[in-house]
Amino acid sequence: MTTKLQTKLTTCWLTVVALSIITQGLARNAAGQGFDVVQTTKPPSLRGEITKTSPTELTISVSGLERTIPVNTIVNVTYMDAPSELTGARRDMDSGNVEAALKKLKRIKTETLERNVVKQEFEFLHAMATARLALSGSGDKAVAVRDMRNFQKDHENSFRYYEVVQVLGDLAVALSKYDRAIEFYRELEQSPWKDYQLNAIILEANALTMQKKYSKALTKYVAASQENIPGLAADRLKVLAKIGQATCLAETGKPDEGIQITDEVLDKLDRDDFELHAKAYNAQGACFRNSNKIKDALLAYLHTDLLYFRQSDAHAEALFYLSALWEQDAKRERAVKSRKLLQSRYAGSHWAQQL
Amino acid sequence: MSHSEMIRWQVAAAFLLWPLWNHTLHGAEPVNEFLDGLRGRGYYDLALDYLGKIESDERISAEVKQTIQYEIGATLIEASRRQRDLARKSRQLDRAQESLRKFIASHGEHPMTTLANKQLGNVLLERARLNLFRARESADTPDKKLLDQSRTHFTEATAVFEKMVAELRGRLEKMPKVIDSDKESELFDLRETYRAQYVQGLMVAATVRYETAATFEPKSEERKKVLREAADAYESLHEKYRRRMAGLLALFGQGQCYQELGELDQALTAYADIMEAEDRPEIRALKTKAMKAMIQCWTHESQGKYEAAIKQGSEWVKSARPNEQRDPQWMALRLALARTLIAGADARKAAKPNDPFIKRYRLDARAQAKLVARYPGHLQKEARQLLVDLGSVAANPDEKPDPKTFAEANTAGAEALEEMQSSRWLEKKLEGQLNRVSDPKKQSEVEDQLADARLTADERLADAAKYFELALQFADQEVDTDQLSAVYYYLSFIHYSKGEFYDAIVFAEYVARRNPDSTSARPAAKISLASFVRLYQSVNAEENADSEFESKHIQDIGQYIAATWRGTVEADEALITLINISIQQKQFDDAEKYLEMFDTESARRGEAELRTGQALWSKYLRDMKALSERSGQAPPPTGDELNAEKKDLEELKTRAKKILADGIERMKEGELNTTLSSAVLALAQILLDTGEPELSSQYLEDEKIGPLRLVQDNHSVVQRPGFAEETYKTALRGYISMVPLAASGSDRDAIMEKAQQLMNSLESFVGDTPEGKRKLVGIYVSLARDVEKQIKLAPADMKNELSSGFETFLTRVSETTTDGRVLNWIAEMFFSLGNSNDSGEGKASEMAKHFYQRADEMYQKILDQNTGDSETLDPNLLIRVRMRMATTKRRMGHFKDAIDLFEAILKERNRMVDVQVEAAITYQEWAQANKNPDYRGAITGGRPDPKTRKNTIWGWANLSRVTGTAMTTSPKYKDTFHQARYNLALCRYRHALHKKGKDRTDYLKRAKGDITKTVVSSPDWGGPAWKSKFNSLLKQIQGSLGENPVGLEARRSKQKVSRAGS
Repeated sequence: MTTKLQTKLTTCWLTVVALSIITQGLARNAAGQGFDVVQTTKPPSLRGEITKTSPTELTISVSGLERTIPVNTIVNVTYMDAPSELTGARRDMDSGNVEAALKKLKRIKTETLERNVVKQEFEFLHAMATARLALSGSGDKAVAVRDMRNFQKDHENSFRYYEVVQVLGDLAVALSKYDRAIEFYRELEQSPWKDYQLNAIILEANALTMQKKYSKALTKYVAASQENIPGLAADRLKVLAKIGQATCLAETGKPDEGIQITDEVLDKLDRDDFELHAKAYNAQGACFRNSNKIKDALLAYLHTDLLYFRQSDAHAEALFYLSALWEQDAKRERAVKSRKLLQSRYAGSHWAQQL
Repeated sequence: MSHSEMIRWQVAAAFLLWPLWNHTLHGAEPVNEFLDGLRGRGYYDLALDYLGKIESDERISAEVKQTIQYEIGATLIEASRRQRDLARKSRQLDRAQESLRKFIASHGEHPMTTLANKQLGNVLLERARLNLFRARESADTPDKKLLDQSRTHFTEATAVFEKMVAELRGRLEKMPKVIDSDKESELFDLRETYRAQYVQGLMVAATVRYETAATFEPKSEERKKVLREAADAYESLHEKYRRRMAGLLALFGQGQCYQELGELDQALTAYADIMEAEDRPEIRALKTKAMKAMIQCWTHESQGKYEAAIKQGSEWVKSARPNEQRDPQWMALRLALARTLIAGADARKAAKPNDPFIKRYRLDARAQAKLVARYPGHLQKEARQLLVDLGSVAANPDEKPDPKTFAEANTAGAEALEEMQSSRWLEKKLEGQLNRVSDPKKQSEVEDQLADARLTADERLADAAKYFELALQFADQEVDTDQLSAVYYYLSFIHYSKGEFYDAIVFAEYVARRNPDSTSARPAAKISLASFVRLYQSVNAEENADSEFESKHIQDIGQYIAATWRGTVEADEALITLINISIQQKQFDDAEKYLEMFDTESARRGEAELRTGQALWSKYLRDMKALSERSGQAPPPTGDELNAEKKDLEELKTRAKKILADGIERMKEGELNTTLSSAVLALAQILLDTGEPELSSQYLEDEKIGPLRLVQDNHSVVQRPGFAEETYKTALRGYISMVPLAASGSDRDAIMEKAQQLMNSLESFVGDTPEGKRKLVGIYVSLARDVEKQIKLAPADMKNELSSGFETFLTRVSETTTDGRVLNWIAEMFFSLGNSNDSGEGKASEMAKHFYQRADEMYQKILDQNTGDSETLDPNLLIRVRMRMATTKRRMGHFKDAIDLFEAILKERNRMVDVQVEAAITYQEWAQANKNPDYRGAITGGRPDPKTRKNTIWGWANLSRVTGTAMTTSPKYKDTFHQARYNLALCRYRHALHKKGKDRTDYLKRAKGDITKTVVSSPDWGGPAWKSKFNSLLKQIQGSLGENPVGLEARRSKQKVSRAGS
C-alpha cells in the first residue's frame, strides 16, 4: 500500500527524478555559495535561508525578504550546510535504493549538524528509510513506527508533517491495524490542499480493500476518480483510484468491468510510471483471476514480477497470486519458486504472511 | 519426424492396415507377440484398440479371446504406471480393475486366474500409491481422507497378495517333495514357478506393509507399529532365503524400515551386511542403493557423520564399472554424494574457514553433479540446479568477479549467450558426427563430448539469464532505451529456450509494443508469437483442449506484427502463422482476410495462397459431402436452402480455384516443394469439377510442377502416402472427362491411348504383388465413385456426355483384358454409372437400365471365368460379384433372377447380414412393382430350406431380431437394426393398404407396434434421422387407423400420464 508521497503530491515519477537531478546540481552550487535552495512546482527555485517551518508552510529569507511557500508545492529542498552523505542519501531514496541511503546516513556524524532544519532532515530521512524497508517487508515495522512517532513528536512544526502522517498510516496498514491507519489518513484529509485530500481518500480506500471491504472501498474509489481537481498530481491520483476501482469490481462479481478499466488505464499510462503499471497489472490479474481466466491472470501478474519487480508491495502481491495460479496451471515448480521468492524477499510483508 | 515418432507412425500404420492383412494372414495371429511389442514400445492405446478389434474377429481362437479381458487389465495397469496425469491414471486403474474382475468372474478356473488376482492386487497397490501421492501433494497438510483411502487400498492389496500366497502354499504342499527334473520336467518346472511366485508374493506383501506406514502421521505410534511389522516380515524372509537375492532384498527392506523408525544404527548394520555380499552384477545394483541409504543415515542431523559418508561413498563410486556409468541407481548415488560433499564442505568451513578440503570437496561435488547432469533422466534437472548453486567459481578460480553495473552485467550476459550459442553449434555438429560414427568406442567418446556440450550450453544459458536479470536491477534512467530493450529481448529469448513461454511473452511484448522502433523489437515480437504458438500446440495436444486464450493472443500479436512492420519478413511470417491457425480452426474467412494483408510482391504470398486455396478446396469437399448426406436424410433441406447452399459452395470453389491458380503462378518458378505439388493436384481436381478437364491435364502433366510428371519421375516432393494414387485417379478422371469433348475420332483415340498408358504406369507403380493388386482395385473402385459423383453433380447436358464417354472408355478397357480384378472394376464402373443415372426409387430409367445391363454382362463374364477349377479370384470377391449381380438384376426389374441369386449366396453363407438386407429389399421392390402387391416375402422372408424348413432369406422381421441382439455387443449393427424395423413397419403398412376389414386393421396395428416397440431396444430411435422417418410413417399409420396422427408425440403423452399416475 505504500506509495511515494512526494511523487504523488507533486508530479509524475519521471518529472521528480529529472527535477531532483537538477536540484542536486543546484544544491552543490548552493552549498558553495551558502544558500538553502527550495525547488517548487513553479520555477524558479528560491535561494536563501530557511527561517521557519510549519506543517503547511516553509519560510525562506531571500535577500532579506521572507517568502512563504506552501508545502504541497515543494519538490525538493537542499541545505547549504548539509554533508554530502545527506544529499546522497536523499538521491538514493528517490531512486528506491533505501539500503544505500541508510548506509550513507550512518556515516554522518550527527554532532556535526549545526542547524535544526538539517538535523530534522537527517532524522526524517533516517525514519523514512527505516519505514520504507519495513513496508517492503524486509525491515522491523515496530522500529519504523517508533522512529516515525518520535520524529512527529519531536518536530511538530516540520514541513514533513503530512508525509509522516501518511507513512504512519501505511505502517499501520502493514501491521493490519486498519482502523488506526484510517485515523491517520483522515488526519491527512484535514490538510488544506485538495490533492492531499484526494490522496487521503484513496489511501483510506486502499485500507478498506486490504480488509476485503470492497463495496465501501469501491464507493470511495469511484468518488475519488470523479473529483474535479486539476493538475498532474491529481490526474495521477485519479488513475490510482481507477485501478483501485478495478480491483474492487473484480472482487464484487464484476471482473469484466474491471478488465475494461485496466485496459484503458494501461493504454494511457506514462511508460515510465512503473508504480502505476505494477498496480494496474495486479488489478488486471485480480479481474482475470475472478473471471477464472487463469492464463490471462498469470500473464498479468507476470508483468509485475518480471518488469516492475522494484515496486516491492505490488511485487509481493503478484508473487502471492502467481504461486496460486501456477499451482492451478499445474506448474508446481513455478509455484514453489514464486512462493520462495516471496518468502525470502518480502518475509515480513502482508502477502508473505497470507501464505 | 524423430526416430520414435517414425516408429510410432509405422506401428500405427501397421495397425490401421491390420484389417487388410487379415485377408492374407496364414495360420494363427501372433496376438501375444504383437501385444508385447506394442506394450514394450509404450503404445498402450494401440494395444487396447487392437484388443478391441480382435474381440469380434472370427479368425482369433476362442482360447485367445478368453484372455482378452485379462490383457486389457494388464495393459491398463502398465499404462497407468507411465501416466503423469493423475485423473487419467485413476480412470485407467478403474478400467483395469473392471476388466480383471470380468475375467476372474467369467473364467474362474483359467490357469491365468492367479496372475489376474496378482494384477488386481497391483491395481489396488497403484491406487493406494496414487492416493498417497495426491494426499501429500499439498505439502503443508496431507489430505486425511485421501490418506484413509490409500490405507484401505493398501490393506485390500495386502489381502489379495496374502490370499495368493496362501493358494500357492496350498499348491506347493500338494506337490511331491521330490521331483526328478529329468523324468518329470514339466512338473518340476511348475513347482519352480510356484516357488518363485510364492517368494515374490511374500516380498510384495511385506513391501505393501512398509508402504502402508506412509499413510500414518510421521511420528505416530501407528506408523511405528506398521514399520515394525514390515521389518519383522522382511526379517523372516531374510532368514529363510538368506543366500538368495530375495534374502538380500528383504534385508534392504528391513534397513529401510529401521531408517524410517529413526533407528539408524540398526539400519546401517543391515545395509553394511548387504555391502559385504558377493560382487555379482545384480547385487552391485542393490549395493549401490544400500550405499545411498547409508549416506542418508550418516548425514542425518542426529549423526552428522559427513566424513564417513564422503569416504565410503567416494570409494564405492570409484569402483563403478563402465557399464554402470549411466545406471539410474548410480546416478542417484552420485547426486547424494555431491550433496554430502557440499554439506561436508560447509561443515568444515564453519569449523575452519581456510580448510583446504572445502575447495576440494566442492570440486568433487561439482564433478559428481556434472556426470549426472550429462545424461537425460529424472535427476538431470536436479543435478543442473546443483551445478548452478555451486556456481562456476569453484571450478574456475580465474573467473571474473560479479558485475557491478548495468554495462558490466549486460556485457557478461551477452558473452554468456555467445558461449551458449557456440556450444549449441558444437552440439549440432556432434549430433551429425554421432550419426556417422559406427565404431562403438568412438561413438561413446562423441556421446560424452555431446553431453558436455549440452551441459555447457545449459550452464551458459543459466548464466546469461542471471546476468541479464542483474542488468535490470542496475538499470536506471541513464540506460539507453535500445540497450534496455535488447536486455528484455535476450531475456525473452532465454525464457523461450527454456520453455517458459509466459515469461518470454512478457519480456518480448514489452519490447515489441513499447519500443517498436528499437532493433530488438521485431525479433522480440517473433518470440512472442512463437511462444503463443507453442502454448497453442501444447494445449491442443491435450484432451478437451480449450485454446481460446492462445488463439486470441496469436491473432493479437500476429496482427500487430503484420500491421507494424508491413512488408517485412517478420510480417509475412506472422501472416503465414495466422493463416495456418485460422485454417486449423476452420476460420476460412479469416484465412482469406489475412491473405489479403500480404503485399502483392511479397515472397511469401504464393505460399500463403497455396495453403489457403487448398484449405478452401478441402472445405468445399467436406461441405459438399455433408450436403449430399443431408439431402438423403429426413427432413431434407428445402429447394431454396439447397440452392442457397450450393451457390455458396460454388463461390467457395471459385475462390479456391482463383487463389490456387494465383499461388501456383507465383510459385512455379521457385523451388519445388510438397505444398506446391499438393496445390497443383488440388487445382487439377477443381478444374475437373468445373468442367475443364483439358486444363486440369495440362497442370497435371506440366514439365516442372505437374504432379503426374513428378510421380512418374519418383520425385522426392511427392513421396507421401496416398499422393501418387490420388494423382493417377485425377489424371484418369481427366481423360475420361475429355473423351466426350474430343473433336474427332482420332482425338478420342489419342486420349484413349494416353489413358491406356497411364493405366499401365499405374499398374507398374502398385506392383505385381497381391498387395499391389489389391491396391489397384481399391484405386479403380474409388475412381468409379469419384466419376459417379462427378456425373451426379454434372448439369443434365454434361451428364449424358460424361456417361457415354466413360462407357466408351470402359468398353475399350474391357476389350483389352481378361484380368478378373480389372473386369470387376469395369463392372463396378458400369454399376456406378447405372447408379448415377438412377434415383433409386421406383423403376430405373432407360439409361440406368442400359448401364445395369452392361454391368450384368461384365459380372457374368467374371463368373464364367471363375467356375469350378478355373476359380482364380478370391472367394470373398466372387461372393461380392454375385451380390452385385443380384442387385443389378433387381434394378433392371428381374426380381426372380435376383432372388435366385441371393438365395444361392445365402445357402452358402446364411448369416451375411448385408446380403440378407439386399434380399429383403428385393422382395420389397418386387411387391411394390406389382399392381396387387404382397409384402409377406419382405416381412417374413422366403425360400425355405427343405431340411430345416427355415427361410433362407430372413426378411425384415428376422433381420430386426438378429441385429437387435447383435447391436447390444456390437454397435455396427445399430443402423441395420433401424433399417429393418422401419422397413418392417413400412411393408406391413403398405400390405395393409391393399387389404380390407379386420385384415387391414390387424396389419396396421402390427405396423404401429413395429414402430412403438422399437424404443425398447433403442431408446434414442437410432438418432434424429431415423427418428424423423419413424415419426412420419407412424403419423400415416395413425391416420389410416382413424387415430389422431400425432406420431411419436402420442407415446410421449402416454409416458407422462403413466408417470403422473405412478
